[in-house]
Amino acid sequence: MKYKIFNYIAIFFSLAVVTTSCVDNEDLTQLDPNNNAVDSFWKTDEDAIEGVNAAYGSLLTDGTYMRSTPLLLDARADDARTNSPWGSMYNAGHFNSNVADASIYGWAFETYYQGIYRANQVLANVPEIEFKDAALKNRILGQAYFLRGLYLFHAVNLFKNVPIPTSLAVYYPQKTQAEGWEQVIADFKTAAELLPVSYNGISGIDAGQKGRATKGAALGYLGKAYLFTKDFANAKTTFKQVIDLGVYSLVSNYRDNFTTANENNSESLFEVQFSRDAGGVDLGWGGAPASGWGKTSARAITYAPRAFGWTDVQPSWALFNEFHDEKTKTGELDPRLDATIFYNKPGGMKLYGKDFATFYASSPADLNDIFCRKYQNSDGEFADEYDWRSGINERLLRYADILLMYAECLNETGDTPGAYGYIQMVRNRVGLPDLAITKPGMTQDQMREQIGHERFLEFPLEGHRFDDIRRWGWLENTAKLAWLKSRDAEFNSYTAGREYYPIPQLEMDNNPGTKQNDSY
Amino acid sequence: MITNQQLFLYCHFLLPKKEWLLAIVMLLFSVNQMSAQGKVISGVVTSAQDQLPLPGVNIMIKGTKTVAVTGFDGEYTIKASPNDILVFSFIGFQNKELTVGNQSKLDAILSEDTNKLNEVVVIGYGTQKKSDLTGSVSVVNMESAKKTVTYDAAKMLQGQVPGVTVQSSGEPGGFVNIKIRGITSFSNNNPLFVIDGIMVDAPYDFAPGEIESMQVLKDASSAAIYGVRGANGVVIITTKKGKAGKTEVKFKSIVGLQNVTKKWDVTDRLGYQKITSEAERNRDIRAGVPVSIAPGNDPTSPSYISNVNTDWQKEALQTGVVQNQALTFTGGAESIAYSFNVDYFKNTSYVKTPQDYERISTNLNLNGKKGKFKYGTKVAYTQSDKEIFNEYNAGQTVISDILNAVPTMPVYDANRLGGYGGTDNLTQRAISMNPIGYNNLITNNGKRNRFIGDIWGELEIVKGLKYKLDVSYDRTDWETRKFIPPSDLGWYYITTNDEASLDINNGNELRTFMNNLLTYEVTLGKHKIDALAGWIQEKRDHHDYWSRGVGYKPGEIAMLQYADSRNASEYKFTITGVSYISRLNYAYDDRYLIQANFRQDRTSLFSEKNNSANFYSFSGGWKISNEKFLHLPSWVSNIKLRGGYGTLGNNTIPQYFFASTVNSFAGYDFNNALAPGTTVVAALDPNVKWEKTTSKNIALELGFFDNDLQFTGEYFIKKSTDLLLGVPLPYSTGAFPANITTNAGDMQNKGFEFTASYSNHHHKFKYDISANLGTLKNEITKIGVNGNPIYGAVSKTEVGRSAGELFAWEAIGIFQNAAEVAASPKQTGAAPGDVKFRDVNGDGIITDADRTFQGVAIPKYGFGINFSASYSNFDFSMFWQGSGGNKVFNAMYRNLMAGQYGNHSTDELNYWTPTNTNTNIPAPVIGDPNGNSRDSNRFIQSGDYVRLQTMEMGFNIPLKDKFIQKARVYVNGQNLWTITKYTGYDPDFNSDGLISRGYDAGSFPNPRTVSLGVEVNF
Repeated sequence: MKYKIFNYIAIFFSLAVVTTSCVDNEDLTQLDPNNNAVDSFWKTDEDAIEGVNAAYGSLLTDGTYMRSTPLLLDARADDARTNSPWGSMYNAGHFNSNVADASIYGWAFETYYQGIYRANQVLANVPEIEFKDAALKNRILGQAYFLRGLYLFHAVNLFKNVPIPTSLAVYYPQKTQAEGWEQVIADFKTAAELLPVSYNGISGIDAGQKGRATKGAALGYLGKAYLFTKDFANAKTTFKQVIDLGVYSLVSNYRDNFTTANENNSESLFEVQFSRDAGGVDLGWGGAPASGWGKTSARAITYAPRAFGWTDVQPSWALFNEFHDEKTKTGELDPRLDATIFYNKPGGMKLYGKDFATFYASSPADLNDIFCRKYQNSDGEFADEYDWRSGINERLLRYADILLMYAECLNETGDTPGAYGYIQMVRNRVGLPDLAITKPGMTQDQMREQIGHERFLEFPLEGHRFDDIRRWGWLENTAKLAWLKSRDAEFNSYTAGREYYPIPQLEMDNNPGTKQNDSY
Repeated sequence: MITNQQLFLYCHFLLPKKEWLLAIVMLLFSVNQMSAQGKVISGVVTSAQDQLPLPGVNIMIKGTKTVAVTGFDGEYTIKASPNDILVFSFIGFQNKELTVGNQSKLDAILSEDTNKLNEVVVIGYGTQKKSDLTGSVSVVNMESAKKTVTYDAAKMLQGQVPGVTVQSSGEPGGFVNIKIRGITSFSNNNPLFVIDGIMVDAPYDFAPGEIESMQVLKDASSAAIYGVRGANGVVIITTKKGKAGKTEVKFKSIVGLQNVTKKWDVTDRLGYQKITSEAERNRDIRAGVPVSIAPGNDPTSPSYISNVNTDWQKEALQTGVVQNQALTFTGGAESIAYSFNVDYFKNTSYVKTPQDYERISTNLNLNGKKGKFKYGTKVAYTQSDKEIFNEYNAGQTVISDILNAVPTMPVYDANRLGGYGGTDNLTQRAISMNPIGYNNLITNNGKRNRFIGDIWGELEIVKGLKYKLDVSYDRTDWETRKFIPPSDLGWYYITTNDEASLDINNGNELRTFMNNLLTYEVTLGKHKIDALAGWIQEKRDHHDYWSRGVGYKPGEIAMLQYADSRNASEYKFTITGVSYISRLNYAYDDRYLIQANFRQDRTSLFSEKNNSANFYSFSGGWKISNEKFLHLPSWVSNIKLRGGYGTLGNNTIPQYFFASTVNSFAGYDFNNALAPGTTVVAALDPNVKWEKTTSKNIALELGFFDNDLQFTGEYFIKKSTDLLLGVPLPYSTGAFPANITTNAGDMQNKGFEFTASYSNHHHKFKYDISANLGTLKNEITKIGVNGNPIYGAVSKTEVGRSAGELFAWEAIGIFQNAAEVAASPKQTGAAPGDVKFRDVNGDGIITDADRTFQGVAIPKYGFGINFSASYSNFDFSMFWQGSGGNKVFNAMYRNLMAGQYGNHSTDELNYWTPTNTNTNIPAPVIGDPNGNSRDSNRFIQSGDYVRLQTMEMGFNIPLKDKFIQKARVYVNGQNLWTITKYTGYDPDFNSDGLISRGYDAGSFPNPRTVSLGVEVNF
């Protein structure tokens, strides 16, 4: 009897102790089993390439080219209008972005800096890694410089006075726009020195990969940065370097620049790579990347015609009308109109496999309206854009742009006659008559106007028009501003300072000393 | 039978060396078998109050271990000698001693113990007599607390204890937030819950019905024993334990009906169309373009909507049903007594959607004693099933959807996929969610199974010295399935086949604790010593699995294999902890009391160099009324002064937050194939360490008239340093999320707490009145990086003010004409009819620098008043509760006053026009270019309220049948009446807690519940 009790007691305690896992000293140090520690990364050339790939990855988020950046670039200009029911989008197009609601513009600001942070991680860590192939190391560093320059270009261009992170830190003070441009130029210069002309014919894990930044891309952006800071002399030299690389040419079909049919073509200097085939199918809006994230864009659903997507952005009537100003050599409409705009075309026009007039027959307002066609998956392959997933690459820098920017530099540096030839290259593709014959002997001012017209029709809905309006000083020019208002009523609510978006309140609140842009 | 030798082998084989030695030590102590001599005595024990027999009374021969227990009819038998003294003891009654003498039949009449201070209170890792407490421990009046019909024990604390605030909502199975003595932390302010000695983060899975007692440890002196987990206070819950004696069966059933008592005044079709059309007109006039009114709102358009006029509140709100049934069996013998409880709870939503919460829980407590060895076990199992409300965007609740839904949208529409109504881009231009359709179409179901097993044994090694080993195992398994089928809920809310998705999350978490406790208790003359030492190990293993399927055709089976594509991921973590605890209680002559606590904690949540911390506390009490030199009148029964000082910790940060990792999914694509990308995404602080709180408090306890009248007054100061906080980072840092968790602030909470109670049980009409009041003043003494304030939703937290104070612009009127706009400080986008804001800094332009503090978000006081009475077979109670001194930003009202495409408050109908100028409602304008609905005092309201939280009337049915001992029927009302100026649904709303404490985004209102209940004891 006595022993029986002991037995029970002993069995109880032994079972209790044995079944409980003991926690000893080693167990008190727990490391995250879900992710690799940063200390074990940045050791090999593969780590380096994954690091720089991540810096590209930031181009795909909502704030960047998945949605917000194209909209922020397009919405304010006279080639587009927005009647979005979403206040943040509507206000972006009406110079009315609200300091209290940083949706869209704040996401852009946020993700440019996420991209810069990733590029800076490459620039801080990769120089320490030993490479067997020094050329690969240069290519990786060159891409990181290019991407940092590209994100910073966007930040300076849209938000004016912004921080300039060039190292790994927590707080970066706000700098002037001039300092920002200086850094952009420095980064593109370094990138141009380090990058190859092409990834074909090289050896390495990046061999043959289209879409990586090249020397041409870096030079093109370098020239653009010079142009935006009115350094026409340097811009001219740089654009000429691009042209002299001899690897770029215009594609014969204008619309090939806006579909999946002919991506990374001979006209493309740099484009954001979207694909329905890479990665998962989840929409990777932003935040901490997950394994299921796809690599697609939501631009198409945002800009889509009514009933095929959200119709947040529509082309302006000024654009539609201006396409009718000049006929081709064969007397036809400028083919860029049909590549850019859906409208009730006499003789019929197909959208998403349906006939425009038939589809909108019961909705007179839509029947008489115009919608975006550029960058839409509307050539018959898809029924609509409602799955949010567009695989069309966003062409950030086309050779046509280089040619027209070069022509502009020639005109600004006194060689107005020299500009004709480069403009005509772009006009020839769409069959427009020789400008030297139709408008010979233009003055520098007339040529400026002409370049404005040419750029307007060549690049609508590609995010360039408002940059042009601002850098040409049209907003400070009373006559030009009145003209813009007559073309696009959205300019009625423009006030001085609103050519830039507000610095997001979160940045204002948490980065001491930051000053808000004028008029906000 | 296992022999000694076998046992040795067994020990040797199974146990590590340390534990093996322990087993030997245990064997060395022998237990005396009891034997009793003498004649058989028998008798009946009855209650003095009602002369009814008392089952389960313990009868012990004084100075021996011979024990008997009364049976079914209060009868007992025991062998005793004539000189023996029988001690009758029963919880809630005074002990009675009777000498056996020559009698063979000895009846005893026990009277109720009216000295409330003899009550034994459960404290951390032990118990203490209430009168000996030196720390701040509040004992919850369970009888009153249980009148709140709820699924969550935390909700029962509302208003019952001073200094405890509860925030809850009417969502079935929603989480209840609770704070003790204000806020001490930015990361987690919910107290630690300890259920039957097992630490749990929240009492979420446990049925409140089986709770026997609840104690709230509020200060460092009482909570220091929980060290790193004690800073937010500790709630100790003890469930019903079995008592030796007659088997008792209790059945309880309550069924209640729930309604939302308040209705927002929102516009009907005509009001909506009028305001929205005006907003479009104003937009176009200001933009200088032809006026374009949405055709659906334009009476001149063929698309004009005149046949739909949905009152969404009427359509979406219904009567919810709450029911709770509980069956409890108790009984057993000394060697093993049991208490078994089965509890069923179900709550269907007051929203006309499938959402509900259903739970069945069982709890078995076994405890017993054999000689010097006491043992027990707890086995509890809970299964719950929650149909979860769906949010389209975070923060957009079904409640805000109901209010924002436009009246021109029909509830049902057979022409749309799924059968529910929606809005059209072309005709209505409004993006409006159909909450009934959305929540009916989506299946979002969460199941939780939780098993708790606890086993303990306590051995009295020598008299007064006890060793206790307590091992617990707490495992939760869950599965959440969310299926979004293809459907058309109108413009924007279209789910295509490609978007249709099934998300499954499975997971489990296992928490094990092993407590080794050594206690020693000794009384040497006037000296009483009670000491505790312990070693605690804790481990928490967590594993989550997610699977996602995307792409379903209408009607396709909602299983993964039917999806067009699938992906899966998982996440796991382990948290460990080791602690050493000790406590010393010393009492001299029942006059002077001293307590000291020490705890050392080590946890894997911090890096090795920061993972250890020490916590301690000292407290003392002086029972003034026991001093001989004082000659107190007889009606003064208790005067006690007590006070304490101590340190506490908080380690509630997510796991692994000190070690930076890389994210391997930040890829890109080249040549239409995935190009893997790896980068650091989040910013972490490698030096992050414990948050520490020191608390000081002093209290005076008074008791009069045999403690019928009691009063306690207490003052406390809590200072927290190295607060763990996700400090917002500027976007330019580049980190996601844009914050870094670090030790980023200090703050102080101080306040008074009072309780007063009076009870009179001396007559047939018995009654109790008690009231409590707690005040709180919170002040930030250090914040952020370089003192940079932290902004939340309409709030700013800075040094010298309380956390989360509302911070907004000040509206000072409406611009009446262009001249006034021109003459006022520059306000970009302003036009006549817009709100004029105050230029606080006088720089001539309205910017974000013109926001000012607009009120404290944390209630300055909270109180509860309880009254209960009984007369003959009738009983009645009511409980009032309230809080105030705080301001609330009514974000729901802001949405309804925005004058955009969503529905409007009827207040908006009085909008400004050139002819209606005597108003403070601005002209509606699509896009709101002036920011009329920006964060401003237009939407800030007082959060004060007083609420009749519960009222109950009961009747005991007189019974002749002895089989049924008690039968009571009652009517219970909850949330019956609220006095408040707040115009939102409910001033008691659930919000994110701290930085954004005063922001009501549209929480589920607490419903009014009227229930009918019955209690039967067999």
